[in-house]
Amino acid sequence: MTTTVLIVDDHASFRASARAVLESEGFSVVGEAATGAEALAAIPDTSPEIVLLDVQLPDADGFDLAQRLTANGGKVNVVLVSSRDYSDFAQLIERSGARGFVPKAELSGPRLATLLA
Amino acid sequence: MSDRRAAAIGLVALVATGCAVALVALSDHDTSKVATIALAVPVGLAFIAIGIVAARRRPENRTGLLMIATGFAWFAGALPESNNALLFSIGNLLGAASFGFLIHLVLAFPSGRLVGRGVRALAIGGYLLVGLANLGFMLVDDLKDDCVDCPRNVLLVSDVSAIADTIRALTALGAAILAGGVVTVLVRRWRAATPAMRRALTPVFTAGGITLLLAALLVVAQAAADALAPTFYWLLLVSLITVPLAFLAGLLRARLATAAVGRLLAETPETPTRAEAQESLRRALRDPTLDVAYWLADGERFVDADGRPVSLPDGRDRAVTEVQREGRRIAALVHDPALADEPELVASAGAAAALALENERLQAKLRARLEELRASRARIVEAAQQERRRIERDLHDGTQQRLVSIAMTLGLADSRLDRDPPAARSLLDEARASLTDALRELRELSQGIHPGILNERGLRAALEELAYSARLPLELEVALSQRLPDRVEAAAYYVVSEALTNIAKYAGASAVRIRVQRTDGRAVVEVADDGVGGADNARGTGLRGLADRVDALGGRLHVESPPGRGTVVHAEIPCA
Repeated sequence: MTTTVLIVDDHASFRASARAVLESEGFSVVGEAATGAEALAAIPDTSPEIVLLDVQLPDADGFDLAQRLTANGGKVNVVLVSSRDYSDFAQLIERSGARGFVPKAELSGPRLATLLA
Repeated sequence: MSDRRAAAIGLVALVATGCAVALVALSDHDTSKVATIALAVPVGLAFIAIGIVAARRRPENRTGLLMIATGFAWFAGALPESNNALLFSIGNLLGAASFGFLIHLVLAFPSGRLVGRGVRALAIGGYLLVGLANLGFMLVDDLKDDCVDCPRNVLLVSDVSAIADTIRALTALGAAILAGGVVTVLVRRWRAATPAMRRALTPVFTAGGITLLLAALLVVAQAAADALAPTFYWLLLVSLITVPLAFLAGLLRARLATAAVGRLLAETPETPTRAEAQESLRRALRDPTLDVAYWLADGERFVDADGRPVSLPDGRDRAVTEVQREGRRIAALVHDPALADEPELVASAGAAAALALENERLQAKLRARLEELRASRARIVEAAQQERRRIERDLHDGTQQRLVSIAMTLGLADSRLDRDPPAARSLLDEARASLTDALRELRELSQGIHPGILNERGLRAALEELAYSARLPLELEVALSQRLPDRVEAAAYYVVSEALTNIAKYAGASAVRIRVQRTDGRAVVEVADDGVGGADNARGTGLRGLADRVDALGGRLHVESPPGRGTVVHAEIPCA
């Protein structure tokens, strides 16, 4: 059984790269969203196990969105991504309810799997 | 009023005085000749004399003429003293005419005009009452009741005392209503007036109001055959003389105030600290609301003492008096409209303060310039901030995303290297192509921050590149024997760059000419096109930013862009 992923990022180039990386490493990308609104609409339809969420979206703050998705015992696992470094957002990441953070350039299947273990 | 006319009126007044004195002196029926002459002659002469002074000072204001008319009507009131029946009758008919003029005079003060329908009705009512009441009375009364020695009333039709008593009662009622109406108007006006206006109104309104009330009381007392009637008569005579004196007080006040202005301003230093002249003028003219607006000829605008732009009021609530010095406008005094009734006073105050105002104007000009610089500096800081944000955005959205993508592609290639070498190779190709793009984006970005060619090869080479890539029909002429200072080169470069961007976007030009030269220690940059024109320096943030940039270097940017006749952007930047 493969792990399902929804990629939420406003940069199409990242969504394409992330899809290629994750699919080649056995994940199933069930959807892509470019905005927070699109993400909220896609989650009930696709029921992903992981939401790969950019911290800065055109219409929403990724940390707030992570908090909403994980509040009240939400089942979804949020992994935050950014082209910046963990140290830029450490506190925000800790408080967001996300399972973890991966710098975009370091995104890989094993890295995701480690966070979910 | 000319000297000759004033002299003629004075002469006639003296003749009228002589006639009136003779009439009283020779009268068979006046029982208090000395008192009558002693009180009545000064009243008439004072009205005429002060009326002449007022008419000469303010020919456009009817107050003076009304006073002269009141005075002559007053002398006509001596005719009833005549022993001749016809003159006696005419005198009785017109005897009260002076009160018609007096009501008009007081109601029309200080403008000389009757303003408002109610006020006009009161004035007309006054004339009707003093004319018609006497006529009606004389038709039915022989005028012998109080004066058995008086001559015959030639207007008498039939002596019917019942009708005469009714007319007398109605006259008294009319006089009471009229006096009440006039006093009400005066009180209302006084309460609505500004402090400066009240100072002018108080003497005239007090003297006029009391006099008219006494006149009404006299008429009522006469109708009631009350014993107080003679008392009211003498009080009225005394009160009447205060009316022209109240007008005189107003005229003198303006004179005295002018002298006071001179004194106060003499105490004002010629190089006053901020708004000191304004304070002096406020005190001198006793108008605490007075403001001074300083004229800046180069900006074609008024500013306050702090150099902030102000616009002059155009309503009736405030009056404006311009101050000139050596034929040039230097300031405007914005003051209480009550002072507009004393234009000489305000003008002389302005003239006396002109030197101090001129010095303050120069300071205000300096402050206005500082204010402009402060605003321009704030805009430069804001523009720099925006530029940094834009660069951060460009780096984040462009180059950074591309590098992220390359890193991920390389990671993918790495993971495929062993099991699928051809796929790994194609991923490497992809990464290299992306790197080329990322490099190009970085170059464009840094070019936007500061064109490298400008540093390395100078303004001429940078402009040539700019001209080449502008793809416009363009003529470039750079007449520089040596390189300009860095900051001047950069400013000149951006002037041309922004002008070319605007031409490409809006102008629809078929020819563009760029000229750069060094004249008298200044770099002169001019970009002219033959396009649609209509560019506005204040509108576009691009041109505004350029103007600030040039301004910060002590230079000036000027844009001439008449609609339909092309645009010339002209900048001069000091090289020192």
